[in-house]
Amino acid sequence: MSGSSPAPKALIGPIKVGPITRDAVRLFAEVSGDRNAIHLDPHTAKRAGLAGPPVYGMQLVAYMHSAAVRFRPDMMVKSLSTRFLAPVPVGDTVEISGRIVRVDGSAQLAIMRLFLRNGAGTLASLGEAVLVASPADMQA
Amino acid sequence: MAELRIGPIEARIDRDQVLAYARATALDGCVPGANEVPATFPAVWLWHPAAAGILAEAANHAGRAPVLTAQRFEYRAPLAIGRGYRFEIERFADAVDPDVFLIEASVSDLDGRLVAVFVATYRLFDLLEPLP
Repeated sequence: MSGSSPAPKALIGPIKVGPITRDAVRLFAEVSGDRNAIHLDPHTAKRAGLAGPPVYGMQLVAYMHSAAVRFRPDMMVKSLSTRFLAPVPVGDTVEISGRIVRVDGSAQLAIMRLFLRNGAGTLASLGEAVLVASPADMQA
Repeated sequence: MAELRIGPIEARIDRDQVLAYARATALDGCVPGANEVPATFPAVWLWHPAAAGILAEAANHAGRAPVLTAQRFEYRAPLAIGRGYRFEIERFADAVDPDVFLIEASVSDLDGRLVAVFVATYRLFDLLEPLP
């Protein structure tokens, strides 16, 4: 790892994303092929008990992945798990921060916690990425 | 919800599709390297025409909508643009909660080596008429 790598346990970021507009959500629908109306149609979202359409969970996962890559450009993502705790309404801005919680002895592997907060500051998604130094380290 | 298994389905990673996906999910408009496949990209295969039944049926299941509540992907090797892969998708009900179902997808190269596994958990939300 490079000498400029953040110290383990230091908070990295945050990166602001958004506002995540209706057009951004529609674009994600187009490129992903996911046409779930709850994310696109305000009436369907209201029928599900939401104030308005939420941003796609997979869109937020993709942002969290991009953030992990930006936080540690010297490494690659071997795995990423996320759990959604609160919806992010379309139009909201999110903040993503990270924290390296473990680096293995040979620095070929690091574990990063990722925190995605919605515009109100509520933790909307929590993630954990396993980062490796090279494709060969993915096999382990 | 009935268990369902689809595949193997063969798909090639198209550069234009990857670029469009990378642009749509970029931070601050900064698109990663043109030769990199975002690790979340294989999720688009859940809506591949040959796999449409997996989520489409769930989406129209008795007036309910699926919402992603958790996901995990894990790689054994990076994906490469222009290369062909086979993916298989399974859908099964949660053992405890009838409103929850899981999707597990595996991606292998054309020699049969496992490249990635993707697991997504969805919760079905009832679609009711909103209160006036």
